[in-house]
Amino acid sequence: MVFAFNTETVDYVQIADCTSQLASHYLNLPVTLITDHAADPKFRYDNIITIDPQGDNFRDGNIQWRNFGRHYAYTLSPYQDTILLDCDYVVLDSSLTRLFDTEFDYKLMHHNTNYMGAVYERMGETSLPFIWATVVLFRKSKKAELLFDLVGKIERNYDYYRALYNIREGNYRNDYAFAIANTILNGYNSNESQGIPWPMFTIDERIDQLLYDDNFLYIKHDDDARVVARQNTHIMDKQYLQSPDFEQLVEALVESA
Amino acid sequence: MSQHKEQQGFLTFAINTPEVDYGRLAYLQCLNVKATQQENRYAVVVDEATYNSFNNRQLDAFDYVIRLPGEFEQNPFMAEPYVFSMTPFKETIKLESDLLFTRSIDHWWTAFRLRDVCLGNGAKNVMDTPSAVRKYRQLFDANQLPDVYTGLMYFRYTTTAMQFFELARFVFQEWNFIKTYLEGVDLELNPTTDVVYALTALILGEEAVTMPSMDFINFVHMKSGFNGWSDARSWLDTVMHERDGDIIRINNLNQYDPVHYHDKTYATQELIEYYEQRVLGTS
Repeated sequence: MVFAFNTETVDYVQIADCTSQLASHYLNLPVTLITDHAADPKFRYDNIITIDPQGDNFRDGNIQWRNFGRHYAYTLSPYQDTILLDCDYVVLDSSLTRLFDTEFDYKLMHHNTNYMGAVYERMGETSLPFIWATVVLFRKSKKAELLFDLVGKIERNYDYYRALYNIREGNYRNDYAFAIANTILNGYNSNESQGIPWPMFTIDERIDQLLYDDNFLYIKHDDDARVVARQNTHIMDKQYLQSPDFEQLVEALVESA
Repeated sequence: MSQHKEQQGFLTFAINTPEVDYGRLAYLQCLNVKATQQENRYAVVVDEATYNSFNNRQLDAFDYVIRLPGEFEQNPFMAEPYVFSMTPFKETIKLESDLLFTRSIDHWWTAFRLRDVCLGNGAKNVMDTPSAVRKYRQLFDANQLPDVYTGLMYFRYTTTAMQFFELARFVFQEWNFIKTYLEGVDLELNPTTDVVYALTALILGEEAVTMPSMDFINFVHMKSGFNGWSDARSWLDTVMHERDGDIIRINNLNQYDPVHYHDKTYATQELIEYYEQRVLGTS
């Protein structure tokens, strides 16, 4: 399941079209898109569910993004077992499906890495560690329902929770809402041992071109190139994700296997 | 009459060059200080040309605009150690003008008061860890100089501080002689304030003017190489960055330490207008 709401500057639905192809291909699962009425998705999704826009966030004064309403995932999901992905998460293997062989109500991504190593961060200087809502696995169960209900409550009362958890930024973040909800649900414990047992890999830097072979990803930007083990990857550069290069990469990946 | 008008505040030097409008950077920094700090008095030291470049709004924003004595017009870098006799504050945090705060550092003043002069020790990268990159510090390493940074430093009106700045003036004045004893120094270049203050710290006693154990007193250095990125381009062209209020998020990481943004194009008109709206109520 993927949420994608276009903004004036980023075509998130186009990005979701590409990344959903990969998710469908490598996970061998149907994909449901949650979007708004104005969207014109090109990928043949299993389901397209339209909801009303839930409001805007702004950063840098005028850059807009829409991340509200993620808590609807539980009730909107047509599946018993769901992998909820951000549309900028690029699936390159089937590792996530293997987790459904284990017992859980939901699994969250507790750690993130990039080229420079582990990225450790708290919600504020004096707050709790946060989790990454980029990837959430859940089953239809009472505890998972509670998690999403709580995320919705935190979203609706974000100013309160923001103050309570010493969060500095004014913008709502799903990462924080899921972290807070998870902490509360687990008796003020992050319950990390029940999370996704590997860290997420993120490319924060700008990308000109992404190449791959069976074992590695080659990330090029200007005169810089990095080589990392091939793995599922969270890509922050939205311009790259909308580029013809990324579309070609997706096509090649889907055709190659 | 005392030079000191107030107990504490921030000060920066802003001497425009043909390439960089440092007065504009100082104006942004002044607004940023006013928006983020409770102790937010701000003084700027300028030469005549920079002073003339200010508009009324900018002049009104600064609490003190201090004119650089004419003797330094040709060599403004020599004026740095005279900050001791120019500051209007009994306690001063001296900043480089291309540095922004993302949160209040009011509690740092208490820590700073453990020293008469406190220089920055090392610099951090965006991961909030001390940068291990030494390529910009070869002169320091070759000569075993203390790894000090003057982008953010503290001093107050004491005899020790006076001695520190007198000694720094001496190092500046006698640089042509001193540099012949240093390894790896470019004989053609003027010394940086970091080098001069490092030499001064070495003479006066590193322990007297640094507090390495107070490792939270630091700033994030955004020179690309400090963060392991190519020096061929600015960090602005390398990584993702965004702002959320005062927070600067780089590579998806909130920066809680002051950010020494280094690439002057970061000081956009939009950013200035954002802080004008916050501080002055208009833009």
